[in-house]
Amino acid sequence: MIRRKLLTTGFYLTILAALPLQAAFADDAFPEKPIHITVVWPAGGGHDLVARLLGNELSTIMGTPVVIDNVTGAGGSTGMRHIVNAAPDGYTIGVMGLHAVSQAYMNTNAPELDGLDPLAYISDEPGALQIRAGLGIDTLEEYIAAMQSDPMDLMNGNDPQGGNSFVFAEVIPAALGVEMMKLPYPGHAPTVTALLTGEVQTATLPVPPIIEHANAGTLHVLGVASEDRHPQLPDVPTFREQGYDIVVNDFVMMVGPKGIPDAVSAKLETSLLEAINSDGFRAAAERSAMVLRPLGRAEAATELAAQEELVYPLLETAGLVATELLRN
Amino acid sequence: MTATMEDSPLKTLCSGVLFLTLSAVGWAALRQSENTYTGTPMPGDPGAFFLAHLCIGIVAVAAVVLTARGVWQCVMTGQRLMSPRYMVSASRDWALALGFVVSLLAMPEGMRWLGTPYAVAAFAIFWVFVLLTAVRGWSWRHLPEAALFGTGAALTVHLVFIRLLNLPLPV
Amino acid sequence: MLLSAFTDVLMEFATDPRMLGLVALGTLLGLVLGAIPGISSTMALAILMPVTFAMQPGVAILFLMSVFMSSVYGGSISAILMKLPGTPASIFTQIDGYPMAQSGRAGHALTYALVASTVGGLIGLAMLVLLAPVLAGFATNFRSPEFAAVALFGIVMLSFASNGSTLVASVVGFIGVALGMVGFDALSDAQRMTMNTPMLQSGLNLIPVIIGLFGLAEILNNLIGFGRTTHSRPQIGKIMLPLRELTSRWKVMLRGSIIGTFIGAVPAAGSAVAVSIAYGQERRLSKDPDAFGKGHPDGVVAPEAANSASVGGSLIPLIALGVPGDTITAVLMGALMVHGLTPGPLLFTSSPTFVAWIYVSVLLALISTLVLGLGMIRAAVMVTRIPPQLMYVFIAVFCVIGAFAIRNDINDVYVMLTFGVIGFVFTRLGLPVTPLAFGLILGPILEENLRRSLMISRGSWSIFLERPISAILIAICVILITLPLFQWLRARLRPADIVRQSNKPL
Repeated sequence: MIRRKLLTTGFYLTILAALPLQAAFADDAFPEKPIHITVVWPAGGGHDLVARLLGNELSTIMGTPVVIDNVTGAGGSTGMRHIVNAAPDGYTIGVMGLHAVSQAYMNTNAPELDGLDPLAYISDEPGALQIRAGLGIDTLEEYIAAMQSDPMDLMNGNDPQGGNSFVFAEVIPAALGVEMMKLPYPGHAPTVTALLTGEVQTATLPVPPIIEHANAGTLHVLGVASEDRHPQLPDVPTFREQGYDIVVNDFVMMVGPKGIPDAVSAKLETSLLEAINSDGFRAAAERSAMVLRPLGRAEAATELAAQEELVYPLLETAGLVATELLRN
Repeated sequence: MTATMEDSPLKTLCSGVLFLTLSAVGWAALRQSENTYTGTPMPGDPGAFFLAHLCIGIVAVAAVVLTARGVWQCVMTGQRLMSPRYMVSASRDWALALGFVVSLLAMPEGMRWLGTPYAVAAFAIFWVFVLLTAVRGWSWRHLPEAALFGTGAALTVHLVFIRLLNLPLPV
Repeated sequence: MLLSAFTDVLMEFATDPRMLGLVALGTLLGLVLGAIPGISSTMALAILMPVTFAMQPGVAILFLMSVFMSSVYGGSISAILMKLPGTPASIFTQIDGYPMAQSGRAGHALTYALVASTVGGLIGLAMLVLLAPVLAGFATNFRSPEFAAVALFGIVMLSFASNGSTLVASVVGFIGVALGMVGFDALSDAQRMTMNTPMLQSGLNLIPVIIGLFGLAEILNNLIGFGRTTHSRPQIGKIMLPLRELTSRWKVMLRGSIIGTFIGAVPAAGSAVAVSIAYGQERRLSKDPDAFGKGHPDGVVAPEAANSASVGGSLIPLIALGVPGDTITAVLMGALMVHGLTPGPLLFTSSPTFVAWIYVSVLLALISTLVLGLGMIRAAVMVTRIPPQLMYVFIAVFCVIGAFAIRNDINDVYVMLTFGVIGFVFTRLGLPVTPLAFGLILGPILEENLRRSLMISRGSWSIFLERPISAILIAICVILITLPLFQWLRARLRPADIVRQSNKPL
């Protein structure tokens, strides 16, 4: 009886000891174990879908499973910190958007942007201005006129300070010359709900959350803040076309911790670009109204720097930059 | 479950003191956050700290009431606060629970040092052994049983959580 | 029109053995994953989503729905057997379900939970099918003041749901509300009570808190004097419940289901509000309120029915408006979008088949959860026979891993531990613990909507009374709070009368 127990114990112990050893005998090529993509928002949110779709394509291209980890909290900073602190071996990468830039200046515990290495740029998310249908305002000029006669009449829903639709809600009215009454909602989905229930009349959301409603006619999109018309909304003019030079967008890019060996980083870049350009991903992106603009590492880094320069002055004027992080 | 709080003056007193401590800590943390907040308030918004102050305030008031009531009841019933004999037997009873908490506190670090499966194995083997001893008295025969269960637990964790579900547990 | 689409799809799915097989597989996976403490329904869906990428949309919906519905019940299994709730609803299930398991009626508790869950889900589905546009219209009347009033209503109902003094329960609830504010503010991104540490900045996630507060605290409680007092393992007892017992509770199930569907239909109110109200309501109406918390079957039936019904309810804003009502429907919506199906106002007109797919999937998922769940009860009940010295270690390990798994954050393990100690201390002192958990859930909903309502009204508090729905809810809350006060006063003024009170005021 005792001997049997000892034998089974010994058996299990041997198995247990052997498990880590097998990793040591593996090949030296990258990748040889699963790749983890960190998403800083909960499952079901915007970046989450992009990550899952991309991960699906990437796993076929790289020949290894791709796992999505949702590391949420602190407005996205917890997840960004997770990426920055991960071992720079290429097995932990992440999806990043404008939030990380805002948080880097607002939150002393958020990682600085120089702890990250951009790997690939996926898409733009230009800002837009939407208004409920049935208010008698169908064009941008009508909106501006209404706002100038009574700024408190139309309320706008947007992210809390630092979120992307908040940035849009700062830039767009400033350029239009109106004062917007801003009501904060914790995310795009609640903002859409508020639009539908009529609690707010306008919103400065990017296109993907509202595309279905725009197509159904419950919302009018007054303008899109990009250089060209949005592919899913060919009838909606850009702000530029209407005489206001507003080009502001959130972005989605893949990043990794600083210090990934160049060979690994290059391989990730090519594979990611291949995944982005794959038929499956393109089709899914089109359905979700994403505007793909695949770029490699170097261009992604340039884009990131440009976004930093755009956002920092906004945050500073709004008094949102933490004292220790102010640039002097 | 143990009896509700009203039935014991000592418990009332302890609850009062506990609430008092909690509200004090909360208040201090809240003040610190308030002082470091640099943003601009939005019109109409009572502020991010309004409801927090209200809640902590209510708890503090309740704490004072409970403490006062507890003291009064203790005095009225002549309750001895702590007797040495009670302390000794209590600490023997509580030793297991305390030890459990301390070892669990060490688990995250242990998981980072040894890797999750080994840390789980160490924890499980140790505690099954201790608990078996508590129930049946000391015996070397508990060791194989503990080892078996411990490694089984570690193996389950490895197979289900690390391999199957691909959770990024520290390894 | 819709009914014919519904029956067509039903015939198509129900007669195809591969579809049925997929339903069974999804149900089994959901039951097991949901029963593992720490793996929430959201995680189960997220884990299995990639499997469905290659499937046709209809098939994918069927599979995901089966996983989803069964994982909700799976959470109840671990709540009843191990006092490890995985969802807000299962917090209530374990209040009465765990004592039932400990007294040898685990099979009964699991059966009550399963049947109530199925009935609730069916009623929720029926209301979804028949009344979706109406309920969606009803839901659009809910704006920030109404959400705040509903959250307040939930909190008030909750204070009535505890044994012992209502006032103490409320104070504990306030502690919970204050704890819910740790971290970043939802509206202004201000940091609150974080001491600028990353750990507190992430806020206190619900799952590690309730794993610690209930599961770990229970273990610690049992370790006091372990070995010196004999902990006899509960006898399994009769597993099958007499049918009359079940059917006699139909009124409870009905009430719970209706509350669940309506509250579930309100976006962002969530199952937490629904179950607090359902549980509190049942306790008030019951002839035997003091038996709640010690193993009263209604204490299991009401929250389970409400929870399942709220699933049907939360699909209403998703299908009718394209708005996800809570995190679970958000994952579902994401999964649907991956397959190119975007829920929205166009859905009914452009693809009634897709809507019928969802309805049929819910129906089949409910039935298969019932069947497989009943089959599993015999095996699940065996868990109560595991000797405590092994069980506690096993649960403790699961607590640690589960707390980590929610957000892949090792700090959550410390959170779980802290709340384990807090729960332990509270129960030793005879303080109720449930209001703490629910303050944590409902507090942020209340605060966010309260502040936003005040922003809309430019600081005027009368906005809550100007809008009819919120005014009514607040009036009900006031009545509920002052009623026991009147009864207490009456008792003092006329001591000869025995006024039956459901709560003992301080």
